[in-house]
Amino acid sequence: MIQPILIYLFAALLLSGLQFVNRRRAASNMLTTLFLALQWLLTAHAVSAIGTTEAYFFRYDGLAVLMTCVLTIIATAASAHSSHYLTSADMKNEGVMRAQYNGAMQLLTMALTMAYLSIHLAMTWVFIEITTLSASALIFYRRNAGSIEATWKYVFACSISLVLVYVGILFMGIAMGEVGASGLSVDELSAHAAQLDTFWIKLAFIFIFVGYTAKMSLVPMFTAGIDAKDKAPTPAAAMLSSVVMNAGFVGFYRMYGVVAQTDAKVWADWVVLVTGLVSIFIAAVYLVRVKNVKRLFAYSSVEHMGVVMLGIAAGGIGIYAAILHLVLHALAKSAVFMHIGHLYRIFGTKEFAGMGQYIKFSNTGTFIIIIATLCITAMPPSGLFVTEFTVFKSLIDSHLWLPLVVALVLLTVIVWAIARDMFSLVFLPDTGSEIRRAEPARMPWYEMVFQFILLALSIWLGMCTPECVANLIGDAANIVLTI
Amino acid sequence: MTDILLILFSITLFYFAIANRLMTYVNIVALQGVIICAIAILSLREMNIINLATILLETLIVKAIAMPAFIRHVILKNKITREAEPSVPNYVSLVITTTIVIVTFLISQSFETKILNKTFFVTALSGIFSGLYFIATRRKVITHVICYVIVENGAFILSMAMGNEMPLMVNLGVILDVLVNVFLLALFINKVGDVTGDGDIAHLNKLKD
Repeated sequence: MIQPILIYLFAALLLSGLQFVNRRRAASNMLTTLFLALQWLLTAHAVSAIGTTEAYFFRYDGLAVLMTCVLTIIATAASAHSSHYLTSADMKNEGVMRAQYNGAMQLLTMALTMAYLSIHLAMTWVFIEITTLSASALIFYRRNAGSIEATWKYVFACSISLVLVYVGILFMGIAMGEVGASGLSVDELSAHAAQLDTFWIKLAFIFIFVGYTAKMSLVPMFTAGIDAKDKAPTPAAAMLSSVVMNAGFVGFYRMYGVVAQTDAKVWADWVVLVTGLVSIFIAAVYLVRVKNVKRLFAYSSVEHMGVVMLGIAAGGIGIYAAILHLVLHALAKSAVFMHIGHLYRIFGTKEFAGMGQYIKFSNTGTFIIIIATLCITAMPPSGLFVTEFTVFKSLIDSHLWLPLVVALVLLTVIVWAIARDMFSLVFLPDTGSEIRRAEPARMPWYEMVFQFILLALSIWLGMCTPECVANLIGDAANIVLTI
Repeated sequence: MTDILLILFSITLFYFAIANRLMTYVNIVALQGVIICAIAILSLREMNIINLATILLETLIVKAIAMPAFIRHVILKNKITREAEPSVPNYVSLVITTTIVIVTFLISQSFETKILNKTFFVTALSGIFSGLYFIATRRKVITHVICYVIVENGAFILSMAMGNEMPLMVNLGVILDVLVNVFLLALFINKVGDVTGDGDIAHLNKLKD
């Protein structure tokens, strides 16, 4: 009998292929609906089959199931926003562009799902490579100078990063070969972890970690992601700043789970800690001076991933908090990016200089922006407040006082910078002379509903995490903690 | 014999560091493709024949013939200036490339290995880091693509050192080569050239804070 994961893979590839060749809107909507149904079916299957392995390479473990659930929710919201985005954007060759957009979006969703579920280092790498190619088709959507530059940088930086990951995986293979073992699945690696030579482990870890920083939006490879999120259509930017970053994290975390079983753990923790702190620092520096709302939230993603790294490095409860932080950040950040699409429809620009007094244009939008700003800056009632607080507590538990103080100072600057820009956007008049649309655009009801759902989930899951979600996170954290 | 080919590969890196013309870069990359093909024939003897044939086809046809030919075509089509115009003097690049090779050699002396030929390790890492250095010090988009191929060649050499034990990884390396190269070159470089006119990276710097 063919296993469900393979049915999903082939069906998703087929639907995405059909999207690429189809030029009719009605058929395109039908294919999107079919794909979403397939995605929800796989998610339901993943939830019901927790702990099982399929086709040797894929396992429905806590981390994978959690990330797949988040992806499915965000992909559904992104698809709803895409339908409005594609109808409202005045483009030539509408049929071709819609086909490429929808096909690439489905391919991206499929590749992310498979990357989450993969427990084999090489297979994860393959699907993350596919996310690069499909995401670049989305960034390229508008085909103007800006999107070409962003796509070029994204493809180039991600390709180099993935070569580094590839080399890192080869080093892991050498480490296994040295002890007479073979195989690159996390089970096989974990089984031999204690015997592996620390030299190869460190070399492999540094290559894999640096490689995946392009996807995770961390120092040193974060720059390509910033331009990509700025230039991609807003539903695609919502995916790039949430679930794609999570895929990079999963790739890193699977490797970290192996390293955590070796003598290289302390060294790896320092690497992760320093990377996290430098990322928060870089985010703070840019957030103070950034003039574009999409880039503002793109840099905010760098900051949040930095916080996640602090939690991972601190260990203990920090790991639990870091994983929950990823989930909540993905939900809140995707809602923000989706709402930026509406801001653009009203103001015709993404620059803060051309945006102001949003409260005059949309009461609902204003409410969403304020809630979203609270969520992203991790202010109560944001669920991210709980997770950041727990990360800080874990830093205290680990006696990492200096990193804690540095992070707190930088986060204060970041909160100020984001709040300054966002509250100016809502309440103060604009300072520029950009042409504003004559009629305030009305936000479709379903966009509003999806944005509220995403933000509400981000608050609820943080403030009162349901037991089933806590169990999934616990299972994911145990990859590192049970050693 | 493999060692001689690997040393020859390292020498191409030094030559790349001091070369001035884009066409020389293209020729160096084509030569690297031929060298890698020869290394594959010599070192992947235990691999099954279909796998080996795919790898040979990829190295010889894609790396040594198709890519250099396509890069030449893009240079001519977009009328890109033939001078490479590196942002640092050539002698500095030569010193840095030499330093990279020496440091990777010293690293290779710091560990014991039963399964890895250390010459592969030194050559591969030298290729990867020199390629990254060349990317950082060259301004044209087309030069970045050429330098990316050098990075990729470095990774491919390392995969061949382990090819008999891990054929899956070598095949994945081939897929990476083909997918990314086709994507970067055939689909994209043309578009960049259309917009920027001369393929100069200086035109791709509008997105910044």
